[in-house]
Amino acid sequence: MSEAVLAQTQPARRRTIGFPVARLGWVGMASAVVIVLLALMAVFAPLIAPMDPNAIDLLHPFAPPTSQHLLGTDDTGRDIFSRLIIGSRTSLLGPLLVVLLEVLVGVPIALAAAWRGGFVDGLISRVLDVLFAFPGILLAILVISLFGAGLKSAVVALAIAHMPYLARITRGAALRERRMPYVEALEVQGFSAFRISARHLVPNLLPLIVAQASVSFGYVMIDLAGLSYLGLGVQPPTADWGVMISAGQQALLGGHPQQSLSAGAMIVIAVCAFTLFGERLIDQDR
Amino acid sequence: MARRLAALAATLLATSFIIYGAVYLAPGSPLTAVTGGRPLPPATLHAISHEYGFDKPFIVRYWDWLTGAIHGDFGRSVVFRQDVSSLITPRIGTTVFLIAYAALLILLIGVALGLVSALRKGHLDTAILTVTSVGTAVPAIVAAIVLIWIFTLQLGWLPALGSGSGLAGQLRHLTMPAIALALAGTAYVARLTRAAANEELRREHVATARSRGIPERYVVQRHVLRNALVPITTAAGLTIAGLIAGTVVVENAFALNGLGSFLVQAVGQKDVPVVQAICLILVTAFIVVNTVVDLLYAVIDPRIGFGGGDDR
Repeated sequence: MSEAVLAQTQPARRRTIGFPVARLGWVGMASAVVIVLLALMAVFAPLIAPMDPNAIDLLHPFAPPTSQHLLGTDDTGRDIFSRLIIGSRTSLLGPLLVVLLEVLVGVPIALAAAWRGGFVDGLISRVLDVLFAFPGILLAILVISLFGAGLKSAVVALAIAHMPYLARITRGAALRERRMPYVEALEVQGFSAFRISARHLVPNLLPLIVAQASVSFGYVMIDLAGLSYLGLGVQPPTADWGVMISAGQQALLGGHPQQSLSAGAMIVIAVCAFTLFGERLIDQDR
Repeated sequence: MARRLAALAATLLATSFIIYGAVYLAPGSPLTAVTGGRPLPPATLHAISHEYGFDKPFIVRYWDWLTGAIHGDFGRSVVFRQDVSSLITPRIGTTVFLIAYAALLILLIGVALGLVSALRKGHLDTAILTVTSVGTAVPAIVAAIVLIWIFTLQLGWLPALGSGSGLAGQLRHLTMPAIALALAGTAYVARLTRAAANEELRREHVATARSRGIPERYVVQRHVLRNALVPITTAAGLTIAGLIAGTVVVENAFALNGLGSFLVQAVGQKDVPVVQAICLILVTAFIVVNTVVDLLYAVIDPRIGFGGGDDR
């Protein structure tokens, strides 16, 4: 039997990535639409933003919302609406990088643990256990205290902190998949572990990985916004939603809540979209 | 039981090693990490080097630090030139109060909302489900900002900053921080309680109890709640453990004088001994709470032994 014929004996691939629309439900659909809109907003941010997000106008600080400044201006007269749109770039890029790192490190680790079992599995599981013992944001603060504040440290630290969740769930699913008859059949045929993993296991696990990555994106966004708020992540004057909440807090206490509240709203919308989308994918994958 | 405690000790040892050893991964010599690269006269550098034991091998230093920490001695702050423990002790109270307050809110409101949602179908259920779905996505900082805007600026009910003194003052000052800290967790616990209760309500033993004419109150108490308690404890326990990290952000948002805000201040000042001490305390608390939750299962569900054996 050739590999192609054997592949037909494996359970029908759950084509969640290809045709999710009908089964996602309206919540899942709405989340997907919001995610696409956010992505478009980040990509075309400079074209959408009506004004230069960093243009200071000291003569007009705390301007109220007008047709020119849709959300008013901040303490140095910068247009809040434009900063909100440009801010989508770092605010979405950070979690995206973290999740990519998580998948690139977590999935191979999980596959190795599931495939080799025994000592390798035991070692990997213990390392994951120790990482689990660190609350994400605390590990990030520890790393940042040593390597300095900034998006780079925050991204690496949060990837280390959030990777165990993805790895543990992927490992569990990979273990179940590994016991399927088609995997044994491929092994008997002499295909390498790497080839079976890459060509068969990963594609079958992909819906689960995408769903978990989406949920993780939401949680990472919360942590990253928290770090930026504390002054440990993205640094001002870069427009970023976490930074904007922090920068706007003084203004809020002075009665100008637009900056903090609008940045907060964007974070809630984005986190909602990513976590709900991921949860719906997980639900229907069951 | 003994296995769980051994695992607890092993995890604590590994995490403390990471917290202490991380300094040596940082670029530059550990001495620079401690002094923050400030230019100091050679005599001072030599004294600091001796004080922090850099003339001894790493593993000896780690062991000295760990045994000292167990006895409440975390070394000296580089910035304040004081014992770290004397700096930390007055700040622990605020943090513990805040976490306990938030935990109470999560347990009371989260479980109540979830139960109401499961038992009262219709509009109320839908409303609670919607609110809690969005609620889990609200970060503590966003909650903090919205609360300050509503309760301090619009209504003028609660103070936005500071820890307050006396029990009444602390309650007044820590109510908004506790709500901000508890919000996402409350929503999460409510959703899980609802799911767990719904699961039980579909079970046969509930139908049997109802058909025997047992009053609904007892059915809910003895058959639904009692059985749903294991998943609820898991969710609530993990959420409450998570508050320990969340307090760092919330304390800063409300300018509270607790461990979390001191940690961020110490990171800014590169005060490594303080960072290590607070990280160790918070991580230890996190691990201990998680272990206690694990042990609670055995109390709630006699079918689960203390030995565990499963891989969680």
